[in-house]
Amino acid sequence: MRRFAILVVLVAVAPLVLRYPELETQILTFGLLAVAFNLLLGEMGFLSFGQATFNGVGAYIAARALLDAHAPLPIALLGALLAGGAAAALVGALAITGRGVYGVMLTFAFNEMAYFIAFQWRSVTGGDDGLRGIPRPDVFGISLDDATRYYYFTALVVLLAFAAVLRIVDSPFGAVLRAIRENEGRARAIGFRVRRFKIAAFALSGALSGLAGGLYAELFHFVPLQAIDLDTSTNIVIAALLGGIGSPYGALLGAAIFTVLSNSLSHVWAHWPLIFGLVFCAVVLFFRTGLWGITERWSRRAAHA
Amino acid sequence: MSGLIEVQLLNGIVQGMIYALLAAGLTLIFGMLDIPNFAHGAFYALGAYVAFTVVSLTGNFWLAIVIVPLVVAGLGLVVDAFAMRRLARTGHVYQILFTLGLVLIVQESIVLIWGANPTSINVPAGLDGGVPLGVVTFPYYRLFLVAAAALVIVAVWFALERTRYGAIIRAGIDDPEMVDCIGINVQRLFTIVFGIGVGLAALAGALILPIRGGQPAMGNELMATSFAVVVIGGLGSYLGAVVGGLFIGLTQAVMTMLYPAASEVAIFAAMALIILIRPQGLFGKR
Amino acid sequence: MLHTRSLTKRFGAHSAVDAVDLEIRPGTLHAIIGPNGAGKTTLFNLLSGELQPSAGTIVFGDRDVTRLDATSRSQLGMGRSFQRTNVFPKLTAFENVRLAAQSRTGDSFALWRRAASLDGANARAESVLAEFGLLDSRARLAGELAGGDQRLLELAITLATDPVLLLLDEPSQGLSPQDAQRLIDRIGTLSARYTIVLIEHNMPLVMRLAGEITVMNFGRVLARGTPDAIRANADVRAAYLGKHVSP
Repeated sequence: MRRFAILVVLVAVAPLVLRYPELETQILTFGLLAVAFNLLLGEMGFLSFGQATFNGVGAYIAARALLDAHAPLPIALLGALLAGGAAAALVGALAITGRGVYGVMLTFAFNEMAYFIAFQWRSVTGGDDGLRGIPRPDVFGISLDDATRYYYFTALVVLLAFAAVLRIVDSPFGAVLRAIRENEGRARAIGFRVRRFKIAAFALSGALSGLAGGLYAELFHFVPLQAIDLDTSTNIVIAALLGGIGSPYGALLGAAIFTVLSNSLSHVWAHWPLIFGLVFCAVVLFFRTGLWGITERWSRRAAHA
Repeated sequence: MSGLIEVQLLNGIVQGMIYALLAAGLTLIFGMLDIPNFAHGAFYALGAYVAFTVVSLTGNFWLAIVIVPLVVAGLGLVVDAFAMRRLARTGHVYQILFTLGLVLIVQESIVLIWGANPTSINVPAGLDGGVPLGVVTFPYYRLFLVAAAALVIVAVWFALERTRYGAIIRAGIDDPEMVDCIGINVQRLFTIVFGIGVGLAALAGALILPIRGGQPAMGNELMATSFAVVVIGGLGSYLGAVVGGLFIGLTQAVMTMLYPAASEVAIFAAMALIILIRPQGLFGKR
Repeated sequence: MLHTRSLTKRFGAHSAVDAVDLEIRPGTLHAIIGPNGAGKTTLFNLLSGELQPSAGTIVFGDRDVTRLDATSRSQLGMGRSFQRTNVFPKLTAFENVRLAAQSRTGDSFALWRRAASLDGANARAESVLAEFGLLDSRARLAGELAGGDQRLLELAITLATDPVLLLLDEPSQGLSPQDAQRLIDRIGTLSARYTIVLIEHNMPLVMRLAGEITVMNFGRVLARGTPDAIRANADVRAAYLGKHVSP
């Protein structure tokens, strides 16, 4: 509860300190993607390499709902959430039939398929030009035209989603996911229908990713083809691991650092991905708990001292 | 007959041989050593760029295709000994993640050293003509590429299947403790296999350079496809990787003529279908 | 309670389990013994649903469970333990047992509830841990418990699923004599309340605990009867070639 309160305060004051509301909005939507990914890897132990698929599906659905049907924003976002969840349930149902690395490769393959479909289906997705001119309608009579206002709207939605994730992690359902991560065979032997839980976890993760995509679509009034490509999936994986896959907070932290660094370092030194890659490899080799794990260890040590 | 269809099919074979080289290397690393190497494409790109440098310095392409696999394989040895061995116990997830980080490092190093713009070299002297086929010609260099790739693929196969070292490697993969017991350093052997796998990817990169040139992200698209090839051919099956590579190359060529929009989707759909219906692949045993 | 008819499992041309008829009566502790390679573990995996038989049927209560998977059999009340300790290593001992209890409550898809507030499952976990003398270790990670405690926890997980029938696969395997003794005492008390099928190498244990014994050899049933009858059986003695048949 205290951590969540701190998070809320941080999110609330961020625009006052940093004054780049678009960047901060991006941190939140990308953060939600990392948190959704973490639900699968951190809790259930499944490495999904196709999270951009659900992000893209959500973004396209929201964009089309706003462009074609002039839907209210909440409805467009609900559509993004449901579409992302449905896509992920489908991908998950197929991917979990592959054992071990095969499961990873299936999410990878489906992401690549989704990308090429989006690339070809110009009438819906705009192909590699992306979708432009996506409106950002008022919500309950409140205009979101201003970037800071849209930041606070996104913050509200993302914090609600994050609270839901925290709740899910603590729920009996979350407990079963951890049981599957720890020992799938034993989970089965005590009577859990593992397959159903896995598909449900995928659907949840996809729904959150779809929501993130939906929120992103109005940020720059634009959905680029990158929203659904493998690089985005890779970035989600990298950010979440950097932050630490042990906790949803870690995923959020990793996403924030990744977004800030990729935006600021690219101005300082064009070759920042090199440093990033080196740090990332070091994390994998030596600090598998990620930044969040390191912070937790320090704070525990400080508490003992 | 204009010869256009023949050229398309021959190009499919050229591309197929590149896939076959990549997939053969990946089969050694992923299929046999059980390391899901997501950086395989990055080593392919690195091969192309190292070749570019060798040709720039010496003007000798033949020297490049000898040196490149050795240099990049040497790098592979370091990566395996330093990182992959350490991660063997932690399971696939961290191996995948590490190789992902490696992609970032290699790709950005290429940009840093060689720049972000595409590079290219001329077809080596002596191979700059072509075979006339109707209204078009088919370059000699591409025929050479097919022959060279085939030669290397057969040589590696021979080394694996018909030599004492190959026998020890295969035994080491089946039962590492047993081979350890008879006084052979299995880890070192595996590291060498990793190096050979990476070397094959680098060779593919060097061979494609005179045709398509190099660009820093050239490995990414091919990586996904070569995973598909390995899965379709059968994980751990050397023959499967080679046949799968040719099959995908030709399929792409045919699809490009018939229905280009679906040519990429078709590959990954095929891969997904194989995993779901016949997870051991077309040529896998298990 | 549980019976099989002509239960057979073939691997290629080899029959690991060959036309086995078993009859486990309610309230008994039924031990299955036999030399290495007699097919005990295969039989066990057939009973628990890990393997599908090549032929024959398995009936639990009055229900044919032959084609049901391990999860369904567990849900019907067939609880199994594993030969190698099989727990959730990075979860606490309490969470291990609580999960097992939770698998019976139907709340596992409840996303909005807190696992900590599932009173039924928590109480059940609490009482099972107490029964196994593991309450003091409740907050420790299962993977960090001592070997004997892990084995007890393994059994506690199975019990927390409220089984009607317990299938125990060599529970004393790899334990120190003291730990084995603790486990035997535990199984002894359990046998008053549960029907138990026990696969075991440890002959003194079997002779002390079992009400009925089935002896297997080469995938077939060699003999069945009370411990005394089995001890006196000449075929059984021959099959073991005098190996660890302690009186």
